[in-house]
Amino acid sequence: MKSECEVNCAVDRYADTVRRICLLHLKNYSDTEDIFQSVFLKYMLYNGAFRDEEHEKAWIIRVTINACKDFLKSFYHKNVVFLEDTYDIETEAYTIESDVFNEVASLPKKYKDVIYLHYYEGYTASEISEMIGKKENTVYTLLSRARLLLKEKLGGDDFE
Amino acid sequence: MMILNKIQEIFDGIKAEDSLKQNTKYFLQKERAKREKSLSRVYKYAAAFAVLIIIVSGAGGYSVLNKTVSYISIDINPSVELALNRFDNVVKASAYNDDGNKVLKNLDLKGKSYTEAIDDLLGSQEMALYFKENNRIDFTVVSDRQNEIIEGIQSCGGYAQHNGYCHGADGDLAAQAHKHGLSTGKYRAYMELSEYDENVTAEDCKNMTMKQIHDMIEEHSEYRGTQRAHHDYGMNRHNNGEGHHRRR
Repeated sequence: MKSECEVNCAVDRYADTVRRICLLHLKNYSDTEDIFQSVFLKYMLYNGAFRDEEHEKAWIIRVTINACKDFLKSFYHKNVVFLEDTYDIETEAYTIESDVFNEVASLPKKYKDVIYLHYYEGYTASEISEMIGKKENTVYTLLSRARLLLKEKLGGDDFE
Repeated sequence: MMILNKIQEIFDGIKAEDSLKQNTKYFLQKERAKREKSLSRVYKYAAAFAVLIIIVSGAGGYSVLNKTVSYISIDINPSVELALNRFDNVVKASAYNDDGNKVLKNLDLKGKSYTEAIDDLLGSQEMALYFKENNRIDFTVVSDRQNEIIEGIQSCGGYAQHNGYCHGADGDLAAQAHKHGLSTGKYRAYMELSEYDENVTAEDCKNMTMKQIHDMIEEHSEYRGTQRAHHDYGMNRHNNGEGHHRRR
């Protein structure tokens, strides 16, 4: 088990990254809190060693993406209706007034992860393939399709 | 603005709320405390279990080391009995007459292997007094591994050097012997003699040498003019392997 100091530092260092991934996948704040707790609890209990900070960050991203996917697949998520959802109560601290963000967030799950990892975090297709457990060629295909979808939706703005 | 720039700008603006960070840290702190508490409970149980195992195995080991599973009765006139544990080590050496007490008085045989104990016993100064009279020495073994122990006795230097005889006996004979205050070997000889002489008692034999008892058996045997073999009382007879045959 990692020390309290190590864990608190990791929360400060990676909270923004985890928050961004949560925002892409989840609709309400309480789910985000659950994912935060789950990800950093795993970090606290993780006994393996990280090569460097980059390796540690990649681990956090992978665990967060998986935690979001697991949560969205869970029986609890599929069967419980939240009051916020019913009454459209805004609980997010962020109200993203951006077509680009909304379009990225509305992409199918498989596309939004690669878009975020490649265009924001700057990971290569090869690195993404390791993180999400897919072949490198598949990652290229996903990126290409995601770009096409966004171009269609956002009126042909170029990525490059 | 290019989409790439917009993506970077938007995501750059997304920050985790301080309350989210604080709640997460608080949650992790509670989880840590819970796990450390349960871990210390596990250690406590593990320690208690380890102590229990040590006590049980210690008690078990002690009982295995001290449990008598075999007897070797050694009789000349001194009657001595060695109680052996599962590892053939002496757990107790008992004297069954005054001469036996004298022999054992200055010997510490406990914990020694039976062959070592026999060598010590037969090599002792007190025992030397009894060998001078051309006595015979009888070894009577009560054990599940009778033959193995008898072979061990026959390999002892003292056995080959003196007039040694080996016999096997069963637990019932040993129990009867102890009931009469005799060593198994002497009681066995008494039973043999009582076949010829109904008047002889266990008490009579207690202070007789084995040679005297066997001389009497021989006399009776010759008197009856019979060549019948002696009975073995719940036992096998083993002559020593050095040409010392049992004399009748």
